[in-house]
Amino acid sequence: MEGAEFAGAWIAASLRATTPLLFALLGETLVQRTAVINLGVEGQMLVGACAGFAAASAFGDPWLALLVGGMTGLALSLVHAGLCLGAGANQIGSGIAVWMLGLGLTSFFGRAYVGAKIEGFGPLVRDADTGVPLLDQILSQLTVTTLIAVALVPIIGLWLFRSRTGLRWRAVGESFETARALGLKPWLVQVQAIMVGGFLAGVGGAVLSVDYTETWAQDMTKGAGLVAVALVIAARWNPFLALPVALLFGGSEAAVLRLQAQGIDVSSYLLATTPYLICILVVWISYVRIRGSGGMPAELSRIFG
Amino acid sequence: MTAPPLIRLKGVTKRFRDLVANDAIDLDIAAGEVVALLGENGAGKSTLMKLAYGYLLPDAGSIEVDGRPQTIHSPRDAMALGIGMVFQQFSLLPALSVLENLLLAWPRAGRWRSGAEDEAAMEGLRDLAPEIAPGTRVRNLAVGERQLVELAKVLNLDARLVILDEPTSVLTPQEAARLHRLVRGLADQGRSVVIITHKLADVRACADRVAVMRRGKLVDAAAIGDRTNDQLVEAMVGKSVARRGRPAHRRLGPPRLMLRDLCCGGIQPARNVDLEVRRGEILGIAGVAGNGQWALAETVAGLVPPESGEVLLDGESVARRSERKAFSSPVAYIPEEPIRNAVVGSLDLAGNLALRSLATSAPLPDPAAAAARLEAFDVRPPEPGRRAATLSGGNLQKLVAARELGEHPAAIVACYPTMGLDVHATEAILGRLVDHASAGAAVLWIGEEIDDLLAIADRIAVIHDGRIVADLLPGATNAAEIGRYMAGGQSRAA
Repeated sequence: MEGAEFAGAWIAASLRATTPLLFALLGETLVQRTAVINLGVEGQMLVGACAGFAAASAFGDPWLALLVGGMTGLALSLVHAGLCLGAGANQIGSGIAVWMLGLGLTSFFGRAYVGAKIEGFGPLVRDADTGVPLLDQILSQLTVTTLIAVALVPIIGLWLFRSRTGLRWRAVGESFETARALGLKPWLVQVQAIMVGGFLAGVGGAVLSVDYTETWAQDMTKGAGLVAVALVIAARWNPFLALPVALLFGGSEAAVLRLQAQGIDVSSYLLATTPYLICILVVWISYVRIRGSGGMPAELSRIFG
Repeated sequence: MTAPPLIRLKGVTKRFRDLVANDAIDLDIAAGEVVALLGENGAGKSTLMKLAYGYLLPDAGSIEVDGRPQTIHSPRDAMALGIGMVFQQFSLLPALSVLENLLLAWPRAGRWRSGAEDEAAMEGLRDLAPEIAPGTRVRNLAVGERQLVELAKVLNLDARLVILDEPTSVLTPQEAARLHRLVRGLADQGRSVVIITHKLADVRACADRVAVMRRGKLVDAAAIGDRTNDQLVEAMVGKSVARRGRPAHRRLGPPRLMLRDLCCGGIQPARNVDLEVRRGEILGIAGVAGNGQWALAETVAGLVPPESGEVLLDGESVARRSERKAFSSPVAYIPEEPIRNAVVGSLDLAGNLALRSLATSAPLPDPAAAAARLEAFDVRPPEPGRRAATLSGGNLQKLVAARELGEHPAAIVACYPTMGLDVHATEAILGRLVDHASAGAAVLWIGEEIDDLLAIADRIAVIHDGRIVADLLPGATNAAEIGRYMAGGQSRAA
């Protein structure tokens, strides 16, 4: 009984820690599929977290908070779209600028919300009693956002690989010339992808503040957006692989929290780096395993050329 | 009253900076006819058809479809009007599967893929090549197989006008014959086909009518039965008009550059080439583009090793000399399409000038010397700090000449060195070739304009299908005879 409860709690904690990242990761996967790299994901998560938290505290509706967070992330992503597609700025530079913009804005506007209380989503099933302790434990700790994030994985995957529009997006990522010859407008597809990516990053941020932590703190994403950018590579630009890859990160984060709670005798700062070390390890292993950039959209590689 | 043509181009003009790619072109294409658009590389054929397909927008002129004026702003518009085009490059996505590539160009696709739709999109390819599996990634296909996928894409287009850009350039003769039958089949269904090509074989095999372009102008258009191959070649490469006097006779020394039973691989290979270029001699090589010139030039320049045979410069193998990295290649090389093959667009002009001596420890030229060199070769503007990508094609050509011909090479390989240049620049570059020959260099000049070859070269060899089919003296031949050899004829009779 004790073991099942512990395992259930850890699985649930992993899923909850993974959820914000998974939204951002799925969004960034779509963005990079159209040969745009958006380091501004970090900033879009932050503004999503801040605006979502503000909406939740003002209106008390977590659903509205997610929507507001998503739209704020989308709005900030348009800055990136305008800079790199409109003004022809370098995508890396533009992404960092957008990230810093998001950090600055949320640090300023977020001060009012530090320490504020809000009402988040309740557990998926209150007092679950399925007769399986492990499942009960998980169900009573998860919220609806995790369900949405996990459901998005096959939805986005099928859309990318089986829909006509998904095929066109991939064509743009592989070759602008070919896409143009087929009558597509690559920039338009890229703008759409950036907007979708910005929305999902914003939702991810709102999930982080409104659902996962139910607090607002300055720079609370702690690099989750940048981790999403890195994990896209590990997931080989495949939405289906986004789930296991994100779980690895979220799982290690949950494990670290658990270890800290156990009072393990290692500096909490060092311990907190573990998920990031695992992120580096995963990227490195996937790099070695597939020899370089397997699966990277061909036009994306030009950004680094 | 006859029906209006399917498409009518009226006074269509397209400029790229100072180059007029299409100069007031008028062309009608009737329903159900196959038109061969013939011309040398850079004549403006692809540009013209990209205008009809909405991939490029014309600077002047109008386009009518079914007698009604239309503005075709994008390939979408063109497809809606029943115009489809298969590009020479950039047409298949290597990372996607065969099926996905076909679906991208599948006009009747729904929002989501379905089994029935997958089947329908694959049907055309199944007839052509049942062995190609739908899930295979295009990058894993052989070149010929890719071309078949390409063809299946055309069949799927279901367009009233199908434009094919150089479709046979990488095909074997058998695959080309299959393509020709396919084109005739499309015409029998009442569709129109424009086949962009520089090969007379394509014209003869499947065209009803031929339109010839040269240097951005439409120079001839006629029913195929009204033109001989000689006439077509003449229209493609220019009439024989003596434009300049023969330079003073040079003293020719002993053989300096020797090609011995040379075979070069590649898509358009060269076979069993035996040639000698003496000190001070300019050997011109005439031929329709795509007959092995490229492979020959790269091999003689020492960039790729020969398949068999050897290239000797002053008795030493060029391939071996090039391997000694500390020395720059003894052969100056002006490749065709310098933008793609000889210039680093993001480097400045001085940097591009220094590329030849990169492997050596020679000091880089100072800006003043670089400026003087640019001035001497009339590169405009002669600013060493300017990025190469901002120059026009003609000036890039001059930049490459300035780099390669600026010092004292022992041998020169020049491929279409005057392509895209105006009369003055052409004279200047050809003058340089003569000067270098006079100074003792052996010059191998792969030419495009027969009259230039006749006026300048000491000897003219004709290449056809990778083989040297004639070795002529300018004083004892004429453009008509050279044209016959270029077209593949063997007869010496006038």
